[in-house]
Amino acid sequence: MNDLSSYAIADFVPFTAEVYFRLIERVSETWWPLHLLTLTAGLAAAGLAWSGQTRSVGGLMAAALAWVSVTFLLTGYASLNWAGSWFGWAFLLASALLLLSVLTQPAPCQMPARTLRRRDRVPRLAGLALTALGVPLYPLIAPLAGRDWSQAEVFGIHPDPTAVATLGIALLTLHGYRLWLTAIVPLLWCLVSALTLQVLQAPSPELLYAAIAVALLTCVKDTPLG
Amino acid sequence: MTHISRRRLLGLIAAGAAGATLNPSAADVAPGMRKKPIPSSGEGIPVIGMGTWKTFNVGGDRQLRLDRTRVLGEFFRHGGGMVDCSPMYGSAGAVMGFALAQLDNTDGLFAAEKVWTNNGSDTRQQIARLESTWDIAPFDLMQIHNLVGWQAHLETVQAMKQEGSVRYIGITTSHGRRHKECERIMTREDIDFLQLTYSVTQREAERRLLPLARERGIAVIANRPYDHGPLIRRLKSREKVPEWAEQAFDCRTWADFLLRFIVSHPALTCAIPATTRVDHMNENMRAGAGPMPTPELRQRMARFIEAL
Repeated sequence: MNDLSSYAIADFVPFTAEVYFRLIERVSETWWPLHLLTLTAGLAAAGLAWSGQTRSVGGLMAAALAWVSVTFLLTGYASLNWAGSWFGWAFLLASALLLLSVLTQPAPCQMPARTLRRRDRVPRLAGLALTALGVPLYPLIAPLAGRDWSQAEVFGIHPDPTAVATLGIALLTLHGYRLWLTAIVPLLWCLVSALTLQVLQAPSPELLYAAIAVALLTCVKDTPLG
Repeated sequence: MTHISRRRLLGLIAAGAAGATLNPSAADVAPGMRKKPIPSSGEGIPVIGMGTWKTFNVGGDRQLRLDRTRVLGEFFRHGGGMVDCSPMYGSAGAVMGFALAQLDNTDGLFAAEKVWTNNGSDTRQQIARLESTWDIAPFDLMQIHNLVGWQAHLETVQAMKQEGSVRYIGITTSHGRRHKECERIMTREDIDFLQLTYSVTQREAERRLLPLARERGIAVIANRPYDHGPLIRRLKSREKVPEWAEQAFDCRTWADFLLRFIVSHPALTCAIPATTRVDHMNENMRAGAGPMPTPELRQRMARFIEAL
């Protein structure tokens, strides 16, 4: 508020690790077995993005972002954090921006061949890596970190893997200002979530920091700001 | 013969177990929780209260809500009084409302809330929402959280006190922030309570604010008495309570040591440790029932902690 500079990051995390991971668990319990569908959709999105079918990918990813916004952020997380509803609305905005970006993105064939060659290699590899982290690998983090499977975070159900996968898909399919527009909310969420996990002394904030670094560097390489 | 289904039988057993946990025997209740007077009225309040930052923010999780209800029940069983909350603490107010509704005995509750909004015209609306959330009215104490928008809020809560819509008013700060501004408000404005961070390792308030509070007749609430948890965890894991403290004032636990150091300061009215655990609540509350250290012992306690 007036003296924001005198606050520590811990002052903005008003819940304990127990409560946060219980929320992840309860949302999982509520929507099981939807996880199987969202994971399949995430893998399908990765395949479609790799093969250049951006419009179908946009629809899948926008739906995932909107679903997580309503079922996790606005419904559950907002009761724990006074800023939670802001993040919920931000995910809805990201969903709309992603849809808009893929619908207005020029088809690959409309781009000059030389531009495609120069642009594609690094973003595609980075995008594939982030999508792999966000979709098939993210559910493994909880058990590998010693938490129960019931607290596994899944693409399309929980915000962290959804944000990471969105960054990956955006790198695979978008360029220029559309890439930045789509990436900004997932990047911010990854930062907020990494800081939250750090305050909660929970494992895996490093993965989110790494995802942010990869996505940012690739975005800057693709389209330097300014 | 009355038939009873398996599900109903299990339900009755579970209800019985929950009831036993929520209303345990009085055998282990420490006698004689100390009280200190609120200078502006003379009303006595128990020296150990309860904070809710992080600990009571459990959202809609029914299992965790019931767990926190047990902690609150233990607090009242030991003669606890002040419960402190804030709109900044997420669902803590709603969880408090839930827990109060579950408990048979909430005698002695001294409900302390805070106004926390930049909008100076939203004071009454926010307080009304808090009353609805807790299902309580009026609040015993309404504080201006971290001095956010304090001029407008203070004017309104002073008017509400005149109307009888709140009983006491106060301001809060933490981590040693904005002490000079607190000092100005304490000098110029009519307030009943000041809440600040004070502990054996955070003693900045001793220099100016605590003497001023005594001079101006303002009650003082100490938040973060365990430095948010790490202090007592570190002490419990590494050190034994010194024998001289046990001999001098029957100090048996680190909770005794840390909380009695705080509430034995003559300017301090109440400390508000927060916990999610019934056993920790028992420790906290027992600290308010025993003998208190003398000023000389307090100096020794501070030197002991500094030397660790």
